[in-house]
Amino acid sequence: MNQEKQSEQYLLEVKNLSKSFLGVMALNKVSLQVRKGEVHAVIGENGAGKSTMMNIIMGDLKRDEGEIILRGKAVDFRSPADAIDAGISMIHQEISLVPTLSVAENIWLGREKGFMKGPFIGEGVRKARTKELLDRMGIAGISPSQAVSELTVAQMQLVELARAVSTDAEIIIMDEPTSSLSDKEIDILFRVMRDLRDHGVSIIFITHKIEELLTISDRVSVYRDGCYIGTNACADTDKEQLITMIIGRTLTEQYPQISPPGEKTVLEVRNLTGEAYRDVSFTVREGEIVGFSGLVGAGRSEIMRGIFGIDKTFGGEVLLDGKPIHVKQPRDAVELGMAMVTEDRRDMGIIRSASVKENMSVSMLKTFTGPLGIVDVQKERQTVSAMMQEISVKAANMDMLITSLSGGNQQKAILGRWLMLEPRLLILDEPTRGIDVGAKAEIYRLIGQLAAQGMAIILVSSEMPEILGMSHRIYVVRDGRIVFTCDREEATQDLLGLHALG
Amino acid sequence: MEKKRSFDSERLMQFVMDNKAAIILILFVIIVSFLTSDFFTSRNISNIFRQICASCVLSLGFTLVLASGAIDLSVGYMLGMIGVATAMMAVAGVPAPVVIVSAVVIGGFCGLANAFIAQTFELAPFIVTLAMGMVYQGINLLLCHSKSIGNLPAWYKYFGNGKIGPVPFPILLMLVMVAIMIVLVQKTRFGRYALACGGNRKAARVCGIPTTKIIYLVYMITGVCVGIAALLLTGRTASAQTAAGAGMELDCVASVVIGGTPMEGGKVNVFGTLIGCLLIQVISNSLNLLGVDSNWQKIAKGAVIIFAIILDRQGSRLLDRIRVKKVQTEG
Repeated sequence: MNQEKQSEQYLLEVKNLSKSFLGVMALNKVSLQVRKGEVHAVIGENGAGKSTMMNIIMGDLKRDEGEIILRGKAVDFRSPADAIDAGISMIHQEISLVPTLSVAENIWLGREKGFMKGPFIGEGVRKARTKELLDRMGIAGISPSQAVSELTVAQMQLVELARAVSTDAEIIIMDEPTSSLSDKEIDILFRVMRDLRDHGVSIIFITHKIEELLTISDRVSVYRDGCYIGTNACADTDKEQLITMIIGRTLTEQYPQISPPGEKTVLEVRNLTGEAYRDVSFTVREGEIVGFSGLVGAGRSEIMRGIFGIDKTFGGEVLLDGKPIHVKQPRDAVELGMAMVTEDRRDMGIIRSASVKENMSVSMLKTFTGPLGIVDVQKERQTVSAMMQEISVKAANMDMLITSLSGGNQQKAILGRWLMLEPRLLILDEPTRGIDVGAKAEIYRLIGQLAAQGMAIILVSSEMPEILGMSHRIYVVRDGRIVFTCDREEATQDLLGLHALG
Repeated sequence: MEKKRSFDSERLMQFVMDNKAAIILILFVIIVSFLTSDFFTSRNISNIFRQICASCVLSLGFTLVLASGAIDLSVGYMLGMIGVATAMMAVAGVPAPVVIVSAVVIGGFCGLANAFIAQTFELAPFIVTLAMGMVYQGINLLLCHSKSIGNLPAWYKYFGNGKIGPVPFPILLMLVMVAIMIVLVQKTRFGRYALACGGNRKAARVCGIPTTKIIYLVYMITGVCVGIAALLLTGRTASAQTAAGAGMELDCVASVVIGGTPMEGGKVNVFGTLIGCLLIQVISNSLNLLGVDSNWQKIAKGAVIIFAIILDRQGSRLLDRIRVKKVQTEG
């Protein structure tokens, strides 16, 4: 099917694009073919490589290999300005307008040349041109002289769209434009998008929402783990098929044998409520691995951060070993025997300026501290060295900077940091993100061992095979609520995917 | 073969980076000793050391603040205020131990105030300490009615010209402070925690470090250093000048950064701060000996600071490149 389409002239074609960040493959020979005058959806889980690909197209990132062909000619943009000149605009997820300036000023920002009257900007001409543009696009209810700060988020998105159109963009990339819009606002946005398409503009529409893309797009390309999975015409596909393509069926990773959990409840959470989640209740038993599945942004990490005291909680109860606990900051949680490997290793995990040893020992320095508060380095080195061997952290020596280690070894070092404290409860938030397959398998083995020793473990993961392969029990979170729960035996990818996507 | 070479270049580069202030200092001294015979006289060397005592102790506190990922721009004016306050007490006949303890306590309290405002209201330390510096300057001028305070008792002047055996007391005090700070910042748990805060405060908090408490302590210890520096400076000038300390925070930035403690925090080199102070003083001193106009001296000082920082940036880039290459060749 793809063969015959190759003869067609695509407006934009991405061929065999690859990119890796410090040895981690973000894109592996991916492709994308956009026709003139189509809405082309791009879908995939977080980490699938969608944004990386778009950033390379826009000239924001350099590619390692591959080609980008625009109107039949290979191009190589050095900056987004080059891409815009060539007729490609991108609307980012975050609004990038200047709130204090007017709609007209924002749309023509940096391109005032056409309105100059001597040294001054011809305000009237600019407003007239803006009015004309908005009318042509069928956007009502926005005045050119209005300050952007007075607009709703949906209106701001329309202004961004107008700005892209005003650059005579032939291709507009939209990164999850609907994530903060109401249904009504989405309808308006889609009407404008269809109108643009009918005028020959191609729109690349990045989204997470399958139903939405089916109503607006002509074709859809699916990506997973930095690989291109395939492109379907929206008329020939359905939700189930797309879910299968998005989450994949590969259960290639080797998961260890998981021993049955104990009886005693270690953690009980009752009606916990925070900024991004409501009424969350669940339990974790001794030696049990409890998986938390769901989309990125569903609120899973936020729940865990609330329990661990990183963020504030508004209500609800947390019980450890049957006793209510009040965790106000991570320090309290650590003292109660809890540990947490956070989702973002760079942001909340590693201390970049410190060595492997210092990173690993930081949580238990108290044990190594002698009189006058002086750290017993000898003892520290012995303990760290033993832990590094136990969980096989590969480093030339423990005094090198943690940042010189591979992602997998950094993650193991952080796991080691917590394991030295011998916690009762271990929370793992995306513990294998951005880690190569070998290190993943080692981390899985380690998790299995820890559970067998009786540690209660919460595993938050966006990778469904990981959840299915490792958990005794699974909770699915959507929009800040637990919407589904099941045992390992009942769980399938399709079942979890259905509940996660809603 | 290839691997070995890159390993050696990494080590050499690291050594140069860790000791760049000392290397520049030695080079400078060698050049100057060829140009003038006046440099290596015991009187000149002793002078150089005595001149850096106050700014070095002040910079020690500043080193800790920077390493913890914070900044304290109020130290200069705080020093002036403590100088005037303690001088007034001394002139009024308050016994020496009380005055000395007061200097330290006022400093600690000012540090506490800085940290309290910055942390309670979650404000940027840069602005808070800048504003607090103005407050301290105002208090200073109110206290002394904008007049400098002279006629200090002999014990106070001991901080400037006292001697224990052949060694000047201020130099001894400075060296003791350097030793204390090396132990405190580089050997204790508190120091480790402070560096962790500087490296990644969010991660440090997740690790169970009481980050708020640590930052309070950091500012208070800095204040204590300011108190001691105030005694040293006032003792040396034998009077409390109203403008004393003004602008010294910028000299601190220079000597601390040249000494190898980066502005970004997370790393520290306490001994490097002493070297950094020495380097800046040696530059002025030798240009003086060579009869260079004092205005030109300022330009030279600024140039050396910029040079050191460029060296730091380029050096760490080179080091990163060497490391990435190493990681890649190792697979």
